[in-house]
Amino acid sequence: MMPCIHCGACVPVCPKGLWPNQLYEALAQGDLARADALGLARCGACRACQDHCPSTLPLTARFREGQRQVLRWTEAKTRAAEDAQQAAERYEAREARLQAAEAEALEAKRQRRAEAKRRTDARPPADNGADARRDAQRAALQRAMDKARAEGREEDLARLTAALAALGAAP
Amino acid sequence: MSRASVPKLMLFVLLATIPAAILRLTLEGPTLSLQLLAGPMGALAGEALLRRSAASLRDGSALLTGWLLALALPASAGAALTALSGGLAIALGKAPFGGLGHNPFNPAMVGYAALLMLFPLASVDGMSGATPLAALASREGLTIAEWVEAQPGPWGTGPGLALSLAFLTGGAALLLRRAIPWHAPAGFLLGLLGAAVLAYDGGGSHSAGHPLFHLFSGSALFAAFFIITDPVSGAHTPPGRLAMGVLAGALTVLFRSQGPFPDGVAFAVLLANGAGPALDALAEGRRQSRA
Repeated sequence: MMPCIHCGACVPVCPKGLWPNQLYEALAQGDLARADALGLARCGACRACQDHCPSTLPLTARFREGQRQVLRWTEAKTRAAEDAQQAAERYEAREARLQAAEAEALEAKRQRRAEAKRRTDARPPADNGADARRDAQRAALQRAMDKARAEGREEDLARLTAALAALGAAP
Repeated sequence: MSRASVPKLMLFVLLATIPAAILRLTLEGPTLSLQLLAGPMGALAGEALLRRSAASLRDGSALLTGWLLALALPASAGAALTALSGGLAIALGKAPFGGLGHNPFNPAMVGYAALLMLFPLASVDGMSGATPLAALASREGLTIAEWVEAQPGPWGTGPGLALSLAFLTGGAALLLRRAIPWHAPAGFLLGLLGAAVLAYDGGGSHSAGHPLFHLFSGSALFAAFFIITDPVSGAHTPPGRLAMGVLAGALTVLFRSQGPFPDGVAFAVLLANGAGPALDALAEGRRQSRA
């Protein structure tokens, strides 16, 4: 057995019109796509090329093996395409799920905010109580001042007037 | 042939050149035999040094490379340069690519081109009718007709023609015994004649030469049957080989009339070899860039 010298003795003897030397080269290089394109599937294993090969290469056996390889390769290619299709579908479903969850979370957040805002708006202003207390204190001071003026307690009247001033003017 | 084998194939090609070799020995004297021995010895030495395998010496490929190279070189090259050229043929053109079956370029033409570049004067193609070819390259304004008339004797019937016919005989034997595919030689002759006919203007002062002159001059027929036919180098598919032959033939005419060297066969063959894989890819209908 010697290397293929591409003498071409195999070409005219092939009943299927194949180029066995190129086929052999493609298979030796592991290029199954090229071997397939060169018509490997049409090889009928008649051994004509092998019988005429000056390098006594095991062409027919290699071509049979190549046909099996191409078959496996085609199956693997189909399987890989199916896997890829499934992966794409899984990916798209997951993306859709994630987007839906995100949208839902956003909506819930928006609703929580609206609810909080509604509660805040319904509550009376925070300083109402303080004002009422101060009004009551003013009224009490006024009544005490009236009483002190009627009883002529000048000293108490001055103290109460100062306290009323310290409390500030009525709003 | 009984059951073909690689060494038998190589030997048969070598035998087909024997008529031409004998003719050259009679025409150019017995000292040429030294050169015819030196070529194969140089190539075998290169193979022995670089391949380091006894099997690679026995397959006959290095022997044939050296022999064809010695036949292609003019007697002016001498035995020493022929041996060097044979060594270079293997060292540059064959061994580094992985030996038999893997060289993309014709090793004999690699050796020839290397010698032509290293020693331009020694290997000016003096083989057959190279003197007319050299004259054609520099005939200084003479028309082809005037120039032919100025030649001593009709060039078409000289030793160049006889040698060409000897190669034609050997080539015909190879084709009849189906030792080589017919595509590359057919393409080569087609390309050579086609280009020569297209370039022929009836013999004006800028003419590239008569088509028959191209066919029977220099190493055209030698190249058509013994060089471009190397199965390993260049294209490997029938259409690819046909196209490679056409390319080499046409380039030979172009290089002869436009190139710096009298005969352009070696460079034409090397260039066409280089186009071989692309031509095969076209023939197979496959894209070059595909992994």
